[in-house]
Amino acid sequence: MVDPTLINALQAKAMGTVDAEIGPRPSDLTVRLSHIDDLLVAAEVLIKQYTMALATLVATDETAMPDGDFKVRYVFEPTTANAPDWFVTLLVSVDAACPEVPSLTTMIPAANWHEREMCDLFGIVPVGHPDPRPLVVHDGWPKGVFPLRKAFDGSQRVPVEPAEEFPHMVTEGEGVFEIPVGPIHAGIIEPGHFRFTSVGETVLLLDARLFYTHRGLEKRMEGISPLDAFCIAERICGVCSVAHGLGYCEALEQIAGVDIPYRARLIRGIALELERLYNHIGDVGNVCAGAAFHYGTATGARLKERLQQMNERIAGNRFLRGIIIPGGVRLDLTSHLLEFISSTLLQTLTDFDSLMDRIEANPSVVERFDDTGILQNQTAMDLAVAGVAARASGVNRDARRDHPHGAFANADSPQLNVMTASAGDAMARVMVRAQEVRESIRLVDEFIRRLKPGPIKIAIADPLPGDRIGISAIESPRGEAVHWLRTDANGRVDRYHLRSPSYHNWPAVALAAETAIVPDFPLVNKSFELCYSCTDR
Amino acid sequence: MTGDKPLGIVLIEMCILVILGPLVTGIIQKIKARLQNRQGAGILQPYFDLIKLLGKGTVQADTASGFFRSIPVLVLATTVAAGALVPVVQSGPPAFPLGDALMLLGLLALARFLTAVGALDAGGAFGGMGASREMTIAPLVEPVLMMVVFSTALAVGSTELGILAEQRGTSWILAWRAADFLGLAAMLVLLPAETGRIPVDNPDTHLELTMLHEGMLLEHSGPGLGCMLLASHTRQIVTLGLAAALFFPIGPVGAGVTGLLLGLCTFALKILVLAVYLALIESSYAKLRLFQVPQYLGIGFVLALMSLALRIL
Repeated sequence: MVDPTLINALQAKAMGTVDAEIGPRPSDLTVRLSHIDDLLVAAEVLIKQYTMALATLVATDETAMPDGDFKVRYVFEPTTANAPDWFVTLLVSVDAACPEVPSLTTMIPAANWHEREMCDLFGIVPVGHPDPRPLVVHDGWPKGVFPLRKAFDGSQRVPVEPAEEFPHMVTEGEGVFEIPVGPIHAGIIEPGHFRFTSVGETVLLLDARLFYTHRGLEKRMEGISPLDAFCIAERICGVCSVAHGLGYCEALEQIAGVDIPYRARLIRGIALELERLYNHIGDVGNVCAGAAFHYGTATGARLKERLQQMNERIAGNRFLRGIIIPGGVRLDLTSHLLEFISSTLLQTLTDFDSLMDRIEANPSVVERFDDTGILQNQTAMDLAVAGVAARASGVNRDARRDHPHGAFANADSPQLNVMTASAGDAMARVMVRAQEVRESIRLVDEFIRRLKPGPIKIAIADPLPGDRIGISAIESPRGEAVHWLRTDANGRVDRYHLRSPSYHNWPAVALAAETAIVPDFPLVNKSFELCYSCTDR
Repeated sequence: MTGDKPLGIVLIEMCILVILGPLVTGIIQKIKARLQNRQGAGILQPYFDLIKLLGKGTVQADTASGFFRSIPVLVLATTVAAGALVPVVQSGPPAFPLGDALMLLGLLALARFLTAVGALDAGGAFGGMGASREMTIAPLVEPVLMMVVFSTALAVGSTELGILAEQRGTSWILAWRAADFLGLAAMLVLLPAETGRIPVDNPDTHLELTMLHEGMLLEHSGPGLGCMLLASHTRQIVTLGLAAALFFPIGPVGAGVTGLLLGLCTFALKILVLAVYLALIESSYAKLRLFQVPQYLGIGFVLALMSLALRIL
């Protein structure tokens, strides 16, 4: 599976030694770069020659281990349709006394937030970063305190330092004014501050400041049993509960080296699609709210409510929490429940088709959606944008196909039709969602037909094997989420990192908003429909 | 020109408008909810909201000047004064000089101006944005409304609303000329804009960045906000009353108590028809992109201009 030419290409460019080994998964490659400056050339080879994109960036504190250093892993994945399922990890060692790495952001815009986060939480400075402002830690956080270092005690409070006003990115000039929006918004949404700079109604610049809901969940999971930490991973975000729970479980199961029963995979697949359905349908309704098309808003909310009530009947939880557990699924789907799911989805499909007909046949709605908030294909590639937003800009990627997981990992899994559009505007994102709704309903039907009686879980021994890494990529409703989990010598969580799709997509929202006017921002934002808590963790 | 409508009737009419204003909003909201397959709040909800707000305390921005506090009262007073000029239960001019349709439009414009001044005074970003948008739209709406009034006034020879309504009360639709139809069409185009509804504005939104009129109310709270909302309700029914007086052939009828009650019923019926029209428009369309609002209002302008031209030629 591993492409040997890649190793040769890396060795040809590098100044130091390049040690390649298989891992974390059998199909993956981890490349140790002895010379830290080789990072730039190695990343360039992966991006330019092999058209890969940054999937995630994980820093670890290994000062207490024999190496006594920080390690930074740059994980890349292919970006072409039907590329093999593999990750390439560039691994560099960072001196603990002088933690600095060369910044990749100028070459790989997608690395921007990753590097700023690493600087905030580990104190590893990306040298040459074009925007070195703090990202995760907010005003008042003491300087020189890095919460993800092992020496930091997460149970203690830190003193609050007096802080200056955050330097928002703004422009100045005749007739230019700033519009501060948030972090507290009208309506029930999560906190985020948006600083618009505009001339009249035209947006010049949008600086989004997030991480108001940073709860330090990754830190909290360290040192406890991975089986217990599952509850935290599942609760990182409400509307991505299934996807994050599944991603964490898949990473954990890689470490445990267990194979999940066939029936459990199908039930996981059904749960993942049910989550996508209530999200996508609710999102289509919400986009209508952005354009003030009340019929669409009300209908979207009604259909979403029906699906969430179905979820409650299936799992006892409107967000399908508690259905997936490490080793399989906790709840079986009885034939009675399966019939209920099928009939509800059939009814939902009819109602949803009728809603889409009304949206598409209403020129006033189409006019609002068309050409609003355009995300160019090149921008989407540069920022490694994920999910619906990427597919609506012509990026043919879907983790269900490209990194098979859940029911898609079964040998007889149904073919997934990846829906793409090329316009990159709000209309394209709505249409991709609508097609994915129909595809998800078809997939659930296929999964139900493949269900055979059998075990639904497999026991996982605690403690888990030590010093192992698990990596998984899950297609959540918002796009690919990359989970990275490592156990320490005692089989406890050493480091867990979630790169949510929203994490890569927020910078794209800002760029898309800059193609629109101020009153269209809610519409642009809702057409991306990103999570805050997934991003903030 | 003075007629025989006593002061008492004028005052009763003004009170009726202020009292029924919130009900019209409640009815529109209810129809909209039903059209969206929702149950919706009761039609009396706007009254409950007003009562709730009147019992609340006031919070004011530090940047607001003393003038800010008086804005809601001034806006309400101006709008209610405009209400005195609309014939409700009885047509014909009042027995004393009060003001004509132009005065009515002027008072509504003054209320809008005061609202915008209040929004700017508070110093919030959304208020300024709402005020600037409202002031961009207003010059496109108000002159066209005036043209519509003139078009009808030319036929009658007076700008007195009571006389216009009386005249319309005797001219059934068969007697209408092309100019009347064009004027009505222009009025129907302008109604959502003047009442702050879709496709021009969205009264139900919580999305500050998209707001026009609502954006200007954000800094008001408690009884002040209550006054602003009551002013909005009154403004809406006054605008509908103006449209009814100008175009609806069932004019206010007769004298005596029976006549007045009959007049009230026909007035309610006319307002209801216009309310249903607004609710239908709001449920069928999305809001226009801000920069396309002038084009939409341009349709109203062209219709009104043609109506006026046909009258003169």
